Amino acid sequence: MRAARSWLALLACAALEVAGGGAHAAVASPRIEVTVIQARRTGGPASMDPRLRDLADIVKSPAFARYDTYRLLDRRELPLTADPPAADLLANGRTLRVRLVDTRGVGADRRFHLSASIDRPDQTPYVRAIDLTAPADEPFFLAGQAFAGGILVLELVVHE
Amino acid sequence: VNFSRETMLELMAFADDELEGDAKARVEALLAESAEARGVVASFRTPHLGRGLGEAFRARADAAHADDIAATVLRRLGISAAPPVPVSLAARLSGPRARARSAIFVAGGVLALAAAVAIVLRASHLGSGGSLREAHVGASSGQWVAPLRDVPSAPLPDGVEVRAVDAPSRTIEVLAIPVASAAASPAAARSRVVIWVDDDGAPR
Repeated sequence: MRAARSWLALLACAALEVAGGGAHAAVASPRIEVTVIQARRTGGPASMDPRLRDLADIVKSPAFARYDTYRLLDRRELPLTADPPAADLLANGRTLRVRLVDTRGVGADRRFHLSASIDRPDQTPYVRAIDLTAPADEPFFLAGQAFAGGILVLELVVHE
Repeated sequence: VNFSRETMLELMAFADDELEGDAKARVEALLAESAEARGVVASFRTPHLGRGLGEAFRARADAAHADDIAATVLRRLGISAAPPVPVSLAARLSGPRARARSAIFVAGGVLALAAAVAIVLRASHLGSGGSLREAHVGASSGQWVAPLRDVPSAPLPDGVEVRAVDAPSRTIEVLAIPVASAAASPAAARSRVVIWVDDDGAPR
């Protein structure tokens, strides 16, 4: 009986594959991982949340010289689609929106064309638009927003 | 390297012999006392790629009037802006087998669109034995640098490619920061892209 059910399940999967032309199975729905980080200068010992591995690669840059403490505030993964855009309410009350414009290439060469913005409540946008392309699993950073005596650093990564 | 972005910008301009007056004197004083600063300037003056990129960028920037943007940045930094100083880029290859697969293309056409700034930076990765120095481009508000179109001879970038940034009345920097582990694993050599947008009340 169990074997019969297994065969039925396999047949059902095959039928779905044929009906969908295999396209849905071959191209996974992309997601965007947003990590919100607070960077501050405390004057004390330098510290960084061990979960911020990608950030650790770059904080020796002069751009980050004025900060010595990095704290993970939030990390979430959102569906990345053209409409609606992935929206994340940040710790400073602003909203990050990331929209998938299109994709190019396949497999390891697949690149995601994104458009991002950061709105401020009842004010002009902090960032009206960022236009970029990125491969999967390649982090990039948006830094500079004032927050609690320091700044926010947003790490964004597209996942397939 | 432990210099601020402003100091790095001055060092780059100095390496290009494009500083004058107080700014030049300030950098000369820094060079007199800091071996690290001297090293930075020397690396910016490294022939081959560093200078080649600078010239290539200058040619493209001239065509696009991008000097106007750099001049505005330097005015904000208190550096003499007459004559205008081009934004500088620097990249250096290390190792005899390094190949010039690296390229940073920055350019654009400046359009007089109010309260907007855009920067385009492309960073491709180096081949075996190479390393990419951090590169950054600064611009001020009130101007727009149009996205750079594909350069036919350029390799397609395999990392993050920033095409444009639009942030009204804000200073934007796009940085390509080499990953520290790149030297240990050339196959994984990559730079991380950081888009830095100044904000009201952010520590400076």
